[in-house]
Amino acid sequence: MAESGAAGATGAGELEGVLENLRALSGEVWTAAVLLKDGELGASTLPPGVDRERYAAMLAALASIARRLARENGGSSFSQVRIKGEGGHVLLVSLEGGGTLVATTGPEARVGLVLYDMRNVRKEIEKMTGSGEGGQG
Amino acid sequence: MRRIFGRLVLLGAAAGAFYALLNYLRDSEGAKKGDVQMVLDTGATVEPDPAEAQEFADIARKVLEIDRENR
Repeated sequence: MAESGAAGATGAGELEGVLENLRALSGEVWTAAVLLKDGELGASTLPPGVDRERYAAMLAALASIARRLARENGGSSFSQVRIKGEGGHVLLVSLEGGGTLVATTGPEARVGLVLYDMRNVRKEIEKMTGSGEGGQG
Repeated sequence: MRRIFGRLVLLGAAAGAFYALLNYLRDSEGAKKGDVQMVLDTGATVEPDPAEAQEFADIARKVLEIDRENR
């Protein structure tokens, strides 16, 4: 599946540029991806040949569980999630309008620093996906 | 006396081995406390219960597998 072109007027290309910048900034990031509200992959740094639909489905499942847990615990959504898995971390940062910024790292990554960098690029991504201030979300 | 002492040592060693095995099995059982941490939009930090944490960990493992395969 091609990545969704629904990432605002700017398109997925610029969004990918921001994700590549995030990877360059935070050298410990393996893959960065933007999951749109509808569960489609807005952009990612995944190499060609990866089943993007399957990858997006797994990220959507993580975001969905996180939102459900947030509601069960008195919030309306999550702000960030850190999951330590076998051989690495999966990090989720919520975007305004229901999207999610996701990054994966190795097991020895400084997760706090990566989350800080993710939060820093969040506004830029929200503007591009049209979910930030003045956006449609 | 020496015989009783010898048996006590053997019994201690067996108990130690059993305890080590129990810990090993418990550790390899999946998501551990602190593996999943969530910050809500309210600012509160939440740690999901073991079943929910396991759900997170299972999906995260698959995501990381794909990433590792393609690095």
